[in-house]
Amino acid sequence: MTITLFTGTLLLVIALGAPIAYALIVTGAALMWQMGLFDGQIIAQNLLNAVDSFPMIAIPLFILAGEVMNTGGLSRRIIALAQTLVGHRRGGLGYVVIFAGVLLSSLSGSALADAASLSALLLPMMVAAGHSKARAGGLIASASIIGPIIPPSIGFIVFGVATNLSISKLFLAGIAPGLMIALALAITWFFVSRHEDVEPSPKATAAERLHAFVDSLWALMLPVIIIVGLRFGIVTPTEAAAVAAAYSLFVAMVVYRELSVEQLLDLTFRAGKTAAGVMFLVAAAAIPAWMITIADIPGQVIALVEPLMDNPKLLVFALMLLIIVVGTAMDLTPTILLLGPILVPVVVAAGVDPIYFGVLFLINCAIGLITPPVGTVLNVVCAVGKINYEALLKGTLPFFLAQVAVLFLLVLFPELITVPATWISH
Amino acid sequence: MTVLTKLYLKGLRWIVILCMAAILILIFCNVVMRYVFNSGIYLSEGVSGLLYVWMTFVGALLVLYERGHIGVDMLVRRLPLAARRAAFGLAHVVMLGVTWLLLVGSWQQAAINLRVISPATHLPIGLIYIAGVLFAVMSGLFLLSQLALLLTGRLSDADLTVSAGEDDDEASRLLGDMNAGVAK
Amino acid sequence: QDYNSRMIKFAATGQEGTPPVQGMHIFAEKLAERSGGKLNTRVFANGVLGGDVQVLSSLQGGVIEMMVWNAGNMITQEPDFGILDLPFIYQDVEVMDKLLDGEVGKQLTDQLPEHGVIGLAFWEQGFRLLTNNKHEVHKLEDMAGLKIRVQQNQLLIDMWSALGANPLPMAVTELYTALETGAVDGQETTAPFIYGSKYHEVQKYVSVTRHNYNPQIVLIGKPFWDKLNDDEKALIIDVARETALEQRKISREAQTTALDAIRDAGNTVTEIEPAELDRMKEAVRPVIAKYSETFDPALSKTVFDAVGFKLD
Ligand code: NA
Ligand code: NA
Repeated sequence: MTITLFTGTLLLVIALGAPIAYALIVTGAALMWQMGLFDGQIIAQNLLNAVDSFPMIAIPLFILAGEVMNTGGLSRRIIALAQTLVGHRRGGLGYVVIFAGVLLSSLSGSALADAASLSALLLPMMVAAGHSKARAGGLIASASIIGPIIPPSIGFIVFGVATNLSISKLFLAGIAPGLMIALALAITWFFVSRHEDVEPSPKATAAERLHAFVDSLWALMLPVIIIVGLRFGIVTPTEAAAVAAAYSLFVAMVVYRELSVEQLLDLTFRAGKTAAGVMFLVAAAAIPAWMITIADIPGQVIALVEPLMDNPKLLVFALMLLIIVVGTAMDLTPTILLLGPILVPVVVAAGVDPIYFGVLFLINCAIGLITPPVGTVLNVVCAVGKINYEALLKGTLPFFLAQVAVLFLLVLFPELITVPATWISH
Repeated sequence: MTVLTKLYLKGLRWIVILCMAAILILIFCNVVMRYVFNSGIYLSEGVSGLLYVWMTFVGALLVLYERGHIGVDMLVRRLPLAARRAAFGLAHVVMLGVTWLLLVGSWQQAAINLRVISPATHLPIGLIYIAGVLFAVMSGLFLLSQLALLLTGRLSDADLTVSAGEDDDEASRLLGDMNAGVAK
Repeated sequence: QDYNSRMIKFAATGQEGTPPVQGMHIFAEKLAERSGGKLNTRVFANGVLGGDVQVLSSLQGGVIEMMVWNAGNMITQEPDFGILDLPFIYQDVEVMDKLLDGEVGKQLTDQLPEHGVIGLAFWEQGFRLLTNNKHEVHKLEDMAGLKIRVQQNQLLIDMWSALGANPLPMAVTELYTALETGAVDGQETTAPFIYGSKYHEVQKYVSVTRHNYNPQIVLIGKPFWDKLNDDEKALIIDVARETALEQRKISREAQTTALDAIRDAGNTVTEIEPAELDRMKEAVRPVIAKYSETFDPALSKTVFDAVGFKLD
């Protein structure tokens, strides 16, 4: 009943053409009414407190950094470099996205921040090169969700704390599957980009490459600063975002002198407004999530899988399907907090390694970030890249399918996770 | 657009810019202070969180005026005009409903937290709920005005958009208007 | 006895398995049993209903019914609660039990109804310990310059500054990564929370400083409280206090077992000599003096006399 009301209200209000954010708030209100908790304070508290979060501040700062890099000449120089290095290959920039996604994921713990910086930095390059905006956005969204799979990962920390599992072990176990997903994306991109009519540029000479490298040196320092800053614990991810914004401002205004004060005001405004659109949606999603917690919808669903207890692989398979369904409508963190503590005891009782399950669980929740109707990473890419939502969904589909394929491969062959995990920890 | 509207939008624009600038400066300086002077600005996290709340809701207001919030309008766009008008009206009624709930709830929470000083900011916790009150009032007035325009038949068919969906051109036209209005 | 059928949402930010959350489950079980299944409690741990500050105002607004958190945090509502956060002066849990179950507890909780909540009982989280990655902390001087993550609380920030450390307020959600990458050198919390949050995986040294004692206050929202009849009120108070006796026992055992588990996991556990603890207490004396001015003088006197602390 509660599940029907949730899905029904959400889809109905979205169908009316209302913004998804408002549809989520209305859904929260409908659940409040059904549970006899009709109170505006629930809406106010969840909406406002969801934004008052330090890790989330990375979003506007990375968007600002990206805007400054675009307007201030940093991106242009990196495009030039990327073009001279891989531009002559078919779909070269797509591999740059995947490689950057892996790099960024080893720097930050959140898919949202990765999505914000990747789409702000690489989407304009791909569009300029002639790729379909929706396809490029889809690749970027899919590459961003490697963020919470490869450590550091806020998702694994929350999961480890909520289920009493070793976070270090979860971290180490996440590296190999994260790389496998990157590989799967690269293979998918290879086939997808073959059908795209992007003219590869002629191969650059060594002198052209060197020139492009020297010209973009200031810009290339930025990822180095972020890598060093995070790897050696000088900054937290949000602080890294602030440093990135400040550094790119310095380079654009003082070194390259390609950004005027008037332009600066305008793009600060744009970055703030873009982040506001994203955060309003994140905040709106917090309301039905709170009601779902109270209604114990996951508990109702769990009761259904108990009969599968004597076949671990089938149980894990069924749970993965369940999480994919829940993940369509729920964000990564609430899914972890709600389902993690309930599911881990179930799989342990069925004889499944909880670390292995935790990695699958997190990959699945991460995939949920790119499934509609509530796909926070999709929303970020959509808003930052100014892409049509439905077109982005179509663009994401092949990469989503590749990730689901990897997920079920890992369900069939647990050794793909457990064996590399022992290599890394010994 | 009246002078007052322009002034109002300009004010909102400056709130967003100043919040962004303050957040960047607070967090960046905190890092510098920690490494150069071995001390931090204790309140930087809390204050930037509060500024982020204000920036988000002022920004969300502007995005609403521009019809820029993400939505799916594939169904509505395929409806006949009369049904489209009905959907537009109905969408506005439910949006107004939750806006009313947000207003009441934010007001109650602002009252509860008006004199409670947050240890994270040394400012009243109620300030975050005042952002909610402001958003509810200003977005509610806008939604009401749109509903009134629809009911009195003064809303053109091209303006029957609630969210940014398929028609990007329309959205960017509205966006351009708004930016032009703000710039002048 | 006249009990109506009611559902109580009981929230906390601590993890499942830590002593306060264990107490919540005991409370839920006892209350259901003694009300003949009428008064039912649902436990929401792990902060799934929101952060501490949010949940407190949910209680005040009548959206959530009960919560349990650090009693010292109630300083945002009444300055007197800050006395419970004073460092190094609380060492004997039996003295604390007597104070909190008696006059001091009563004086504190009597101030709460005007803030929209009722204090039912005091449970505990235990003594806070210092962990870090740099070196063993035996004495005051070892703390010099250590970057310690602290809660966003001015009293605690002042206290760590007075000890010579470098206190850095930081969201608890970022703490694990910050400890791992070295953004901060250490943190301070109770042994069950260190173990529950797995900080020992990314820390090397644990010092048994017992610098703060964390009584937990069990709160019920006034809007909900006012709907209850006298029988229900009496039963809820009774069960909360009865649970306190059991919860404290569990918590006190948990301090030892968690510390053993942390030691077994490879951390170096350092006991601090009593003379060194006294030096640390001396170092924070100006902080105690400064904050004591904000407390009711009679309250300070009762508490300081009971624990044998002299301000001057
Ligand atoms: Na990561
Ligand atoms: Na989703």
